[in-house]
Amino acid sequence: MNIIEANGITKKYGRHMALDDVSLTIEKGSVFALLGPNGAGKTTFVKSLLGLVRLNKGELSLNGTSVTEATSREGVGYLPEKFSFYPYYTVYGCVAFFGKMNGISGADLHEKVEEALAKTGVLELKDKKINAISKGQLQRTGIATLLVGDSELLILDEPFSGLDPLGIKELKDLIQSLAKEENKTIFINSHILSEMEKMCKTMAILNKGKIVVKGEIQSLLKGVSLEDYFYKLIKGDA
Amino acid sequence: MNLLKTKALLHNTITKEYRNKALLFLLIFSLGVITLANALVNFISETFLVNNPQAAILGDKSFFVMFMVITFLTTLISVILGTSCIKSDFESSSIGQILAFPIQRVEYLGARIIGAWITSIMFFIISIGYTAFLFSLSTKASFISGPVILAILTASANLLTTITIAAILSLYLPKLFAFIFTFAIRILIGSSNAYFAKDSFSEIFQDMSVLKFFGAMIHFFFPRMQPMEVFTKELLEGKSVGLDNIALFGQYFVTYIILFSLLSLFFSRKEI
Repeated sequence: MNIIEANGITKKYGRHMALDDVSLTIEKGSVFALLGPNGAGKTTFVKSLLGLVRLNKGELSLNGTSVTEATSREGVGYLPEKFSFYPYYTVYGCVAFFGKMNGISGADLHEKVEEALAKTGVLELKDKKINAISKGQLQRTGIATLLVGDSELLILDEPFSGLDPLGIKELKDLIQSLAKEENKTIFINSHILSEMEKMCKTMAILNKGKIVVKGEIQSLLKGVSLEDYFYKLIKGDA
Repeated sequence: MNLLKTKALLHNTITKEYRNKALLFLLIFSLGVITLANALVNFISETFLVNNPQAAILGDKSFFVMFMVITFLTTLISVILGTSCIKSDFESSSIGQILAFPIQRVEYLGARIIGAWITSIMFFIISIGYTAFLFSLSTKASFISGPVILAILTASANLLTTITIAAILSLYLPKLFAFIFTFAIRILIGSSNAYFAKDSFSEIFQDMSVLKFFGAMIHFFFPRMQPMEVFTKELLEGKSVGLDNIALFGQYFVTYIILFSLLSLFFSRKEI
C-alpha cells in the first residue's frame, strides 16, 4: 500500500519550475531517499507534502487523503533541516508540546514524552532549555518530537545537516532502528549520499524539478557507488 | 476542530507573548505612571481636600483619566503583539513545523490572535486593577463597579480588532511598517466613524465624492472603533446606555468576522 502518491505535480515560482510533472509513489514501511543537487526541488517536494505550498497542477496525497486537507497530516511527523523551537522551552516541554499537538494528554502524555526522550537518548537533558543543548542533541530532540506522536510516516529534511561524524552516526543508527523495530515509513531528503546508500531501500533523484530516476537503490546502482552513479547522472543531465 | 490542539497552541501563544520585552517594558512603565499619578492624587487629597467630599470626585476624575491612559498603552501593546504573533513564527522558522501538524490554518490563526488578545487583556486588567487599588487607598472610594467591568470589555473589543489589523499587515510588511500602518488604519477608521457619526444612512450617500465614498466604505465595512471608544467613556462617566448600542455591537461583530475572514484568506494564500 502506498503512503505517498504524487501524480504529475507541478510547482512554479514565477518563471522558475521547481517541480515539473513529478509522479512518485512510496510504499508503507519503506525507507526512501529523495536525492538531488541544490535547487533540484527537493525542499519544494517536502513542503508540498506538508501542504505548505500550493501546487499549480497534479495531485498529491498522504495515506489516500489530498495534502490540501489538514487530516492528511494525521500520523505524519516532520523534522526540518534546522530543527528549532522557542528557546524558553525545555527539552521536555518541547516534546510535550508536540505530543499535545498530536492529541495526547494527561498521564499518557508524560509516559510518551519520557519514552520518546529515552529512545532518542536525551532523557537526561529533559530539564535543559532548548537553546542550551548541542546541535546533535537538538536533532535528537527533533526526532523525539516525531516519536511522541507515534507518527507512522517520518519526513526528514536534511537530517544530517550540520552534524559532526559522531552525530551523523548516532542519528543514522536511530533512524535505522526506527525503520526496523517500529516499521516506520521514513522519507529522507539528503545530500549525504554515502549514508543514504546504506540506510535506504528505494530512492528518487530529482534534477531541475524532474524525476530523472527512481527505484530500488541496489538494482539501480549495479555495483557502482551511489556517489559515482549520482555524479554521472547529474553531469549527463546537465 | 480539536480542542486539545487549539488549547496547546493558545497556551504556546501566551507563553511566547508574555516574554515580549516591549510588553514587559510597557507594563513597568504603566505601573510607574499609575504610582506617580496616585502619589499626586494622594498629595492633593491630603493637602487640600482633608475631610472634603471633593476627594471622591477627584478620585473619580483621576480614575477616568488613568483608564484612558491605560487604554492607550494597551492599544500600543496590542499593536506590538498583533505584529509579532504570526510574524515571529516566520522569523524563527517554526511556522513550517507548526503548520505541519494536522491543524487547519484558521485554527492556527485563531489561537495566535486570541492568545495575543488574552495577553493584552491581562495587561489591561493588571493596570486597571492596580490603579483602582491605589486610588481607593488614597480617596477611600471604590472604583470597581459593573460599568467599569463592562468598559473593560468594550475597550477589549477594540484591542481584538487592532491585533487582527496588525496581524494582516505583518503578513506583508516588516514589523515597524506594520506597526505604523496599524496606527494609520486605526486613525482612518476613527476619523471615518467620527465624520459619519451623526449622519443617517441616506445622508451618508448625499453629495458623494471619491474621498467620502472611501470613508463610507471604511465606516460600513470595518468594526466601528470610535463609537466603541465613546461607549466605553460613557460607561465610565456613568451615563445611561441606550438600546441603539445593540446595532453598534451587531455591526461590530459582523465586520470583525469579515476582518478575521480576510486575515484567514490572505494567510491561506501565503506559501511557507
